[in-house]
Amino acid sequence: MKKMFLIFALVVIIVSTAGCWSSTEVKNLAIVSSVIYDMDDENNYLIKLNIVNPSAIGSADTGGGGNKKAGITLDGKGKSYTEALNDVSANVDRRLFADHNKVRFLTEKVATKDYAVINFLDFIMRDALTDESALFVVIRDEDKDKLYNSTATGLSNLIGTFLDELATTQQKYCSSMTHITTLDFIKANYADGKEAVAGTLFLEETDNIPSQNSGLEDQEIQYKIVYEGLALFKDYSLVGYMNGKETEIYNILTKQAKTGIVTIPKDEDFAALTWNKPKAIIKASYNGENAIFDIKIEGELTIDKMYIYNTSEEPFSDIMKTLKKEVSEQMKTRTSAAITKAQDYGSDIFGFGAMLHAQNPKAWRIIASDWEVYFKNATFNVECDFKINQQGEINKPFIK
Amino acid sequence: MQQVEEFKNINGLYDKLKQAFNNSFDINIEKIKTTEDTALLIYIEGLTDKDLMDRDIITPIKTLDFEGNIGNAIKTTYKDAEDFNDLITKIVEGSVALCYNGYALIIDFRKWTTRSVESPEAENVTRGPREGFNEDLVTNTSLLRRKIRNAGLIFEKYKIGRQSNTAVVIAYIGGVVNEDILAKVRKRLGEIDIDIILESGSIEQYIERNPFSTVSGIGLTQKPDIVAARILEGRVAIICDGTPHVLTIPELFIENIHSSEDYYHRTFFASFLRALRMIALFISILLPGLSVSIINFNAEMLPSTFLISLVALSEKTPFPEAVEIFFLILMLELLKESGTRLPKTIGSAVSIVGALIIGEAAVRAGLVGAPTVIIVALTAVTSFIIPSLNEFTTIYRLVFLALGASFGIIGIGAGIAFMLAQLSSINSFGVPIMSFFSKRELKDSMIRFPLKQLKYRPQNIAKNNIKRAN
Repeated sequence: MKKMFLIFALVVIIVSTAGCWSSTEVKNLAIVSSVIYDMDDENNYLIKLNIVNPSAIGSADTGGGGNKKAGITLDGKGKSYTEALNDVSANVDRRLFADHNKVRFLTEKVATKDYAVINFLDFIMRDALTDESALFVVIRDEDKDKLYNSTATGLSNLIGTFLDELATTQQKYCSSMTHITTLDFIKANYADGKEAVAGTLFLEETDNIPSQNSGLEDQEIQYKIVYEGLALFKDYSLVGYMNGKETEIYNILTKQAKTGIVTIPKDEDFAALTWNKPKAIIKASYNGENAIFDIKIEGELTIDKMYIYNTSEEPFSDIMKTLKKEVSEQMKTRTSAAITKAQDYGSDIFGFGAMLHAQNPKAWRIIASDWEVYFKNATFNVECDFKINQQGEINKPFIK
Repeated sequence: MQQVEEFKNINGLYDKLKQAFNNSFDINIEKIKTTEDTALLIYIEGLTDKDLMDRDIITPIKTLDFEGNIGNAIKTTYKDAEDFNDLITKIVEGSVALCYNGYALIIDFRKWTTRSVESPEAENVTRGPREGFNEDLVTNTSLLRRKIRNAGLIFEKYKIGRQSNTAVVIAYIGGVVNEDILAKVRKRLGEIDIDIILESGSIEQYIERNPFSTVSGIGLTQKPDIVAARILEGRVAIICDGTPHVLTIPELFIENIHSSEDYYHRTFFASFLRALRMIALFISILLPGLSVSIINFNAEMLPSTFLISLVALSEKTPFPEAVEIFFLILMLELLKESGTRLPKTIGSAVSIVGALIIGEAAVRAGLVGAPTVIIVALTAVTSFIIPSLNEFTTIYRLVFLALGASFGIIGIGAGIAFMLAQLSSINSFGVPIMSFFSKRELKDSMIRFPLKQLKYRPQNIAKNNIKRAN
């Protein structure tokens, strides 16, 4: 009797929890690669899906590639993103499958409009099956139509895959880009004392097109993607951008940077050094009037190019000292500039508020409500100390 | 040598024997005239060494020197038949009977053609002894005796089968064997009531207590070295006349992934092979079901690139993934079955037709997708790694396929729970077949420790005498 009951219970549990109704054959899936979330002037929500065309990519066996386009683009329109999605569904003969979505693009228009970002986040969070690992990128309004039709995608077939691979593999070597996922963006919006950022890109006209996998004809491609910089948000609204060099500073201060290149001009030429293993130590304090942040950036340098500095009069050790000093000086200036820019926008993307909260909770309680004002007036003492670790000496260097 | 009254009248005995054997053509009953009285020689054609019989029985009693003392005259050892029934039994077993003047001598001149000792096809090894049992009981016991030259090796003979009177021998080591198991084996063998035993498989089904389970808890092997090792762990072996398959009782589940070679190879490689077989077991059972459940319910788990090519490959096929896999598994079983039945020379033709033509053509014709073929091929390859669990894997593979296709990962999980519960509930002759999780036994279960450290016999099997080395 007990046995029968247990078997019965097992069957009931399986049937009721398994969700056998959600079974879908893979051949009935329309795999979404990337999405552009947009709005028009009449407050209609627009959605543009880039959907994988499997038979064009496929495998060797299906004779993929050729002239077929790797992705198809579908548009939808509605009073909400859900309605817009339904509008798309009405035009596609397969079930939309967004779990492999690589990138969510948000147009500048949505990003700057009141409540639009909140509505967008609300839509994302309410969907139980959202894949939050997709990249989150803000694009310029003028780029949204070009993106899927006339943009080069490197060695990948689709914009989504291209950007995802790019951000994942290249961020290690290139600190001017970011890898900000939807989840990162959501978390930053919940956080106290830190404003949200998003990745950004712009399209640049180009003539030099490498051979493409996307199935687009060569003459169709006019643009290449420049994925660098940051989009700064404040109170769910886009307030401005940072360029690639400023993004390097953002990555250093938020401890995400690995390596980068710094050049020092001299006599119409440059010396070039690679910095790596940067370490930012930030001390936050409050003196009763202002928040004060002592920032110390340390790092290691590798010499890439220094011929211009080679003078027979000066001893080698002195040249090293000069280079080191110049780099530290330049990084200090750039850091201060980047922070000043964020201060001007009133958007504490670096999370200085959160640092103050962690290091000095009592002071934070006093100034938390007015943090934007305090951030704008905060004092930043920046100090940079880079050491030349590798002089490139494998054997006897060419320049001594 | 004893005289029996009913054997005295030779002519009467002749008629009685003729009647008893119903004039069967292969039973030779010959009257031999000697210088004294007439002797009666009875033997079965084909089971007797006629050369020896001529030399040692017929020639001595037909010489002119024969003086009537039959016991002294024949040049071989003999036994006395006690009565008429005993005489019949001994003749049927293949002995030669010589009746003379009230004496009935039973002489063992049995000889028949047997297969030579060969390497068993189903249990090939790269290292270790190749010899395997054959159909002859005495050859089999001698093979075993040669491995264990010890008076403690005991062979107990039984006769099973109302009509066939098949000789069945249980082998064990006195002092090492688990007495409980031995008693159970004796009792259950005694309970067998059947006309004929042709194979140890019938014995296995009569003495097991889990007829509806996919594993029986009784080991099967054709190799004397394996039987020797197993009875030295306290087990009982059942050798049946007429079959090379020897049963060892009990067998734990984990022993299916063991191989005799594991003990001949060095530790790391042996353990690696065991791990490999364990993985093969899981792949063989779970792969079709798990892949269907992931593809149908959790496509997000697959890498994007793979999913895209999967869609590309399967969008041209008409059937759902589960049906495709079921179709291919069915074909695999058909191929296996026809491959076993066919002569070796045609067997390779079947595999070419099956694997290459049907597999390739099915993909080209768009009947099944290429990934499905890969899944089923991998399943097939792994299923050959553990042949002893063939029944278990074949049945559970289909169960998991059904569960995966209808209930997804949760169905698979419930299936695994059910399978483990079912396996844990089976006990073979009082030993739970999943009982290998004790500290000592783990040294020789999933992995094999160096032989020097394997000082104990399995605790559940050799209950009292578990220490085998110091």
